[in-house]
Parts: sequence; structure tokens; C-alpha cells
Amino acid sequence: MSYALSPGQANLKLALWQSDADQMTSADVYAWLVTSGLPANVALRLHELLTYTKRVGRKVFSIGKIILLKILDFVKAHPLLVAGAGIGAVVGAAIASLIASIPFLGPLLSPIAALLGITITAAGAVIGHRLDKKFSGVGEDIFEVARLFFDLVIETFNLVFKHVVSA
Amino acid sequence: MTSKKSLSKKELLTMIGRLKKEPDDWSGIVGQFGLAGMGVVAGGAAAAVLGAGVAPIPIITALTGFGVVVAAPAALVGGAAVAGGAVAFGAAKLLKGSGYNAGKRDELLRNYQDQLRQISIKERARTVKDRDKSEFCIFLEEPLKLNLISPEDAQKLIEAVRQGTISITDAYNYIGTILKETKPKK
Repeated sequence: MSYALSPGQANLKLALWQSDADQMTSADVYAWLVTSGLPANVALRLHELLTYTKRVGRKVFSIGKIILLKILDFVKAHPLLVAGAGIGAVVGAAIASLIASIPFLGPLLSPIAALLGITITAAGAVIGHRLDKKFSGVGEDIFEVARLFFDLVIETFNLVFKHVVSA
Repeated sequence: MTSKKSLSKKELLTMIGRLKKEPDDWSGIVGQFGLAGMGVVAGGAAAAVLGAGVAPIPIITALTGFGVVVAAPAALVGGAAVAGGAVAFGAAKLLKGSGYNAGKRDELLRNYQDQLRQISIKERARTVKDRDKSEFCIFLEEPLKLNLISPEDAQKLIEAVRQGTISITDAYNYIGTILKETKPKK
């Protein structure tokens, strides 16, 4: 697989995201989650992501928190999408695109995807999307929007954690 | 999370120019350019997303958030997709460096090694001063000019150093790695 970023650039990106994560308190994230309109069980599961970390060399990265903040950024950046499709669909699309593109996030995010009614196939396709049951093709469109948005996150994670065994 | 204000490359270089003249006034100069603490901004942004306040987790009877979909959102989704493209993080793009030749590379790497050695000693001895942070900003001048680092990343790195979420040693190392791996033009 070829990457547009260099490993050094990816390391810097991740360090900057970690810096953002360090400045965001658990209470800030919780405040957003409880008022976001997400189902309570999904909000709780998302909040649990905050504890997920991964070590690279001598550094520990708050991967769960970084992912959650990126999902928050995605929601913030797409208010019309949230208004039209619902917060659950938007968060679901974000999670689906991350699971499909960053293998080690699968076990972490799949239970949340399941709560949101999303099924990920082995090939990475999203099926059984509740939105698509009502409006054909819309779920796929939102998924594509999410995939484009998370392009940099996906590339950075895959580069930095390429040689790191999942823990 | 983003800072209050995104500085352009020109603004960052102007700030660095001022730091060169007055390296001891690091806090004042960086503050004047709007690189305030991000913690408050980030927290406020999170709480403001959807009108957050102190509230218990609401009991939602619908199985999922999809329950709120009442009208065909296809057009809305289409519009949002376009807007989404504009506000996305941006496709990953490798900054390849313009004017980065072998001579410049050697000079920058020597400078990087010198600065790294000095700041490592100071950080171990806990004697880091504002002037050291200024020197790190000044060190970023050439990588910024040569397009080895984006203005956005440079600004975020300066903010992280200012707030102590990234040590100056680590900050030098991140830039040093990029200097080493970018091939100079002949």
C-alpha cells in the first residue's frame, strides 16, 4: 500500500492530535455525548472509548479519545447532514468508515456499530443500514462523505500503527 | 480541535521574525498572534456543539437516532456532501519541500542536532526558559519556508509546546525526522 504522507509527517499528525486530546477533559466529551441526541447506550459505549490507548515505542497514545474527538469534529462539520439524516446515522457512518479502513479499530468500534444498526461485512461494505431501508442509497452517500472526511486520520493511523501489534 | 485563529505562513514567519529580535518575549509575541491556550477553546467547542449543558443521559425511546428521520434527506445529504468536502481534514498530502537541496538539508540537520542536544539537557535539568521556546519557533522558520511543514501543523506544534503537551525535545525530534526523510532536490 502506498501512502501520501511520510512516516514522519504521520507521527507529527498523531502527536498533534494527542496534544488536542490531552487538552480535552472527559467531562467535556461527556457533556457533548449526553446532549448529542444519541441513544443512551451508544453514548455510554462511545464514552468508554476514552480509556482505549495504544503504545508506539515509548509513547502511549489515547487512540479512543482521538477517534472520539474526530467523530465529534465530523458531526460539527456536517450540521446539515445531522439535521437531515440524524445524529445516529452520521456517527454510524463515521464509525463504519473507520472500521472499514483501520483494521485494528474493528474490535473496538464494532459493538457500537451494531448498536447503531450497522453491519460490516468482511469486505468492508456496510449493509443493513436502517437509513437505506427508508431511502435507497442515502446510507452509502453518507458513508462516502465520512470516508473522505477521515482520509487523513485513516492514512495516519495505518502508517503509524503499521508495525504495531494490536493490544 | 482547532485553535481560535489559523495563521497563514506569512503571519507565522512574521511572528518568527519578531521572536528573532526579542527571543525573551516569547509569551507576549506568541500571544499577540492569537496562539492562546487551546484547552479552553477546545472544551468550549465541545460543549457548544449541540448546546451541551449539565444534564443526565436522556432516555431515548427510539432504538436509534435514525428515528428522527422524517423527510427524504437525499438532497440534503447531497448538499452536505459538497460542504463536507470543503470542511474535511483534506486529503492526505505530502509536503515535498521546495528549495530543499543537499546543502540546506545538511545545515538544517546540523542545527537540529545542536538544538536537540541543548534542549535535552535543559529539559532534564528543568531549566527551560521562554527563550528556548523562542528558539524552537525560530528553528521552524526554514522548514516552514521550504514547505517541509504546513503552517497549520507548525502553528499547532507551537501551541502544543506552549502548553506543554509536547516537550520541546519531542517537537525537535518530529521536525528532525521529517528533515531526515525528505529527499533534497539536486
